[in-house]
Amino acid sequence: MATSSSCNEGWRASALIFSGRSNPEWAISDAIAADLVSLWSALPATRAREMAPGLGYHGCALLDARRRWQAFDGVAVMWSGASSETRSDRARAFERAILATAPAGTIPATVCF
Amino acid sequence: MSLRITFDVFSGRPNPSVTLTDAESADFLKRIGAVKTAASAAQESHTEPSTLGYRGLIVEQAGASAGGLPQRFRVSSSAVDGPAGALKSVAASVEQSILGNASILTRAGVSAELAAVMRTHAAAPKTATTAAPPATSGPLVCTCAPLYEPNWWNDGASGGAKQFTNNCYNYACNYRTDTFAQPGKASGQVWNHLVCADVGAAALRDALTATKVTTIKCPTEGHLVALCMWDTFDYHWYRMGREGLWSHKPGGMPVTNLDNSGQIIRDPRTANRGDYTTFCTFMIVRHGHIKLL
Repeated sequence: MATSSSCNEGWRASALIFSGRSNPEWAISDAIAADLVSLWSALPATRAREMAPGLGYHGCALLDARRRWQAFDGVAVMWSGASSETRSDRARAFERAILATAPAGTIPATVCF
Repeated sequence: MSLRITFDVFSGRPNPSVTLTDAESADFLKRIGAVKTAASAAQESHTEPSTLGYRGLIVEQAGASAGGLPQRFRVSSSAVDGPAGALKSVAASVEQSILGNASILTRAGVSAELAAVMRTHAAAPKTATTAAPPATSGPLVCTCAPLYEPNWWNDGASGGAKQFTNNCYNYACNYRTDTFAQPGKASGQVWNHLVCADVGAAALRDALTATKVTTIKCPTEGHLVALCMWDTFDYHWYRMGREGLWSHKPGGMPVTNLDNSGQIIRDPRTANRGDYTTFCTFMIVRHGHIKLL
């Protein structure tokens, strides 16, 4: 999955790595975003659980103006306003698919996923 | 008449809830019984629970309210509380009738493990929320330091923006900007290199105060913060709270008082800090003096 050059500025992805400085963020095209959303939609629903905060890599996010998907540790959550849906991402397919859209050099090579 | 029951147990994520059937609703209301007058109830003391963990059942009535009960009330620890105060005492079995009902728990999406935890908490004797600090507290009480109030910051699961737009620097300084504040930015020169000297100097330009600390103690004014570094990649800040313990906010993640090993942080120098292995320095945040952006 490659990053498109014809990006809708409404879709963004981010690797959640840093604590102080801004996390790496990049734009994503409508088509790629649709693929990612489809991938998430096909994941099985699971019980919500908190993603334990910690220093270091703690997942990645896909965002548009209204919604936020966040994937980490085998769970992929979509928030829309105050509601949320949790899907099981045990194989980390959704998480890896988001990270795969990062332009080269966006994520420090030393970061372990 | 149907009742909606919310299990008030989580801090960050939404609480599980379920709508009872008419028969279940009638049975639950019968167990509670009628309330005599709202006026007399309002004279009794009332405190909303502010503890972490299971805090009771929030009950909402759809349509006309029954039994003199308000539209929304709480059942917890053998007590029924309305918006204006305590309404009446009830048997502990009232709360347990919900917490022990497998059908209701399943429909609410409550796991067997969580149900067991809630039943245990409901059965345990309650202590006042204004009681002495918990056993995990340190010996210090820094009256000028901020309270540990993670719920205020951790609004990501409920659709809020504070959690995602404030970072470790915001939290450590107890200064919400909703901008992922950067040391030095408010003073016109943000950090250049991710090393202790550079980020520390940027924080000083934001009017944080340098201090030499060997033994952690409360500053005379303001509160202590600590700067650490994942050299060349990122920085991280901790803050010391009123109870003498440390907490932090890893980026856009929720506020926590635990380190990367899940341990309470008594000293950020010795906490498990993951890749942020370089401890830089302590500083003091004097409230009202600093400016972040």
